[in-house]
Amino acid sequence: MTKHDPERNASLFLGGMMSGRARRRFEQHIIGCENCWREVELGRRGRTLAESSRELAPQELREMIRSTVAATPLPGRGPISRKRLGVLAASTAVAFVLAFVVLQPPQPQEIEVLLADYDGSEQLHRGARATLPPILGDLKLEEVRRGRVEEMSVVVHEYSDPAGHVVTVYQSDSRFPDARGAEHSASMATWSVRLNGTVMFCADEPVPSLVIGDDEREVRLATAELELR
Amino acid sequence: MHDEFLQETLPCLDLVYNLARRMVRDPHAVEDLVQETYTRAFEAWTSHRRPRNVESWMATICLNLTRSWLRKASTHRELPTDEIVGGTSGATAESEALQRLGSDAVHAALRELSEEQRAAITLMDLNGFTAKETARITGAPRNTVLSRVHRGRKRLASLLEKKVTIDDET
Repeated sequence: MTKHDPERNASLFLGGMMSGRARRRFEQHIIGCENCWREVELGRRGRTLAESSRELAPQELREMIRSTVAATPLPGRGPISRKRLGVLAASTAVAFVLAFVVLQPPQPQEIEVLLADYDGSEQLHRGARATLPPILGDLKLEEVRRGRVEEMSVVVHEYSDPAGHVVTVYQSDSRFPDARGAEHSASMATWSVRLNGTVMFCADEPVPSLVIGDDEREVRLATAELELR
Repeated sequence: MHDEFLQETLPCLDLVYNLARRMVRDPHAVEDLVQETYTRAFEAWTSHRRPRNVESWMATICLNLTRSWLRKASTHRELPTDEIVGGTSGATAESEALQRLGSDAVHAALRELSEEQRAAITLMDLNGFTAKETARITGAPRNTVLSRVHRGRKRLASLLEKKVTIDDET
C-alpha cells in the first residue's frame, strides 16, 4: 500500500489482490482509518447483497435447453437412409479403431497446470519479486507469482494491454516440455502452438520461457521484447 | 455428441441464467438469451472448438449475446427500472436488511447499476469467478474489473440502505 486511496485499497483488499504482507498492513490501517473502514464495510455489504440475489434456473428452462440441443442436428447431417446408415456404421467403426491406434497422449502435466494457471484458476502463488521489465511495448506488468509445477520451479510475470489482453510469461531454470501439437522452429530451440484460441510460444534462451496469451500479436510482442530465441 | 455437450454444459445453466437475468429485465428475453447461448455453444462444440474452461466459455458467449441484445434493445427503450420495488422496513445492518428486503429489491437495485458494473458483479459475486477470470470474460483489465465491482457493490449497498430508510419513514 503505497498511496492512501481508500477506494482502490478496499477494492484490492476485497478482491483478494493484496499480498500477505500488504493485507496485514491494510488490516491494521483500517482499524484507525474511518474512510478505509467505511469503504471496506460498504463493499462487503454490497457483496453480501449481490450474493443473496443468486437464483436457480427454472426447471422448465433446463428441460427446454435439453430439447433444443437434442433437436439440433449435427452439421452436415441430413436424414439418413438405411443403406447409408450401414455404411456410416462401418466407417465409424473403422474410424474408431484408427483413432484408438493413433490416439495422441494428453498434454504433459506441466503444460496442463500452466494452462490452468493462465486460464485463471491460479496454481501459483502471488508475491514474488519481478525479474522482468514492468513494461513490454504496450503490455504492463500486473502481477508476479512463483511456485512449483511438478519438478519445475516457475516464476510468472503477468502482463496486460489496454484492451485487456493478458500475456503471461513463465520462466524456469529447466526446459519446459513440448506441448502436444507444437511446431518447432528450424533450430528446434523454440516451438509454438495454438490450443483452443490460446497461443503458446516456448524458447530455451536466454532463460527457458513459455509465453501464453490469447492475442498472437501481443505474444509475439512480448517474445520480441524479451529477446527469446 | 449431444449428450456429451449437455453433460459438460448443463451444470453452467444457473450461471448463464443468472448472468442473463441480471443483464436483461424482460423474462422472455432472458429465456431467449439462455437458449441462444446454448445453441451457439453447441454449434461451436460440433465444430470441435472445445473450451478448456467450460464455465468461462459459456459466460463469455452469454455476455456477448446480452450486450448485443442490450444494444438493440436500447433503441426500443429497454432501460433500467427507475424505482426499487419490494421490501418492507428495517435498519441498515446487512443481515437485518437482507431479511426484510425482498429479492426483488436487490434485483431492482442491481438494475440501477451500469451495464459494466452489473456484469462484473454478476460474474464475481453471483457466479464466483475471480477478478482475473472476470477480466478475461469481459475483456477489461483486471484493475478496471476490481474498480467496477467495488463501485457497484457500494452503489448497491447505498441504494438498498436508502430504500430501507424510505420504507421506515413511510
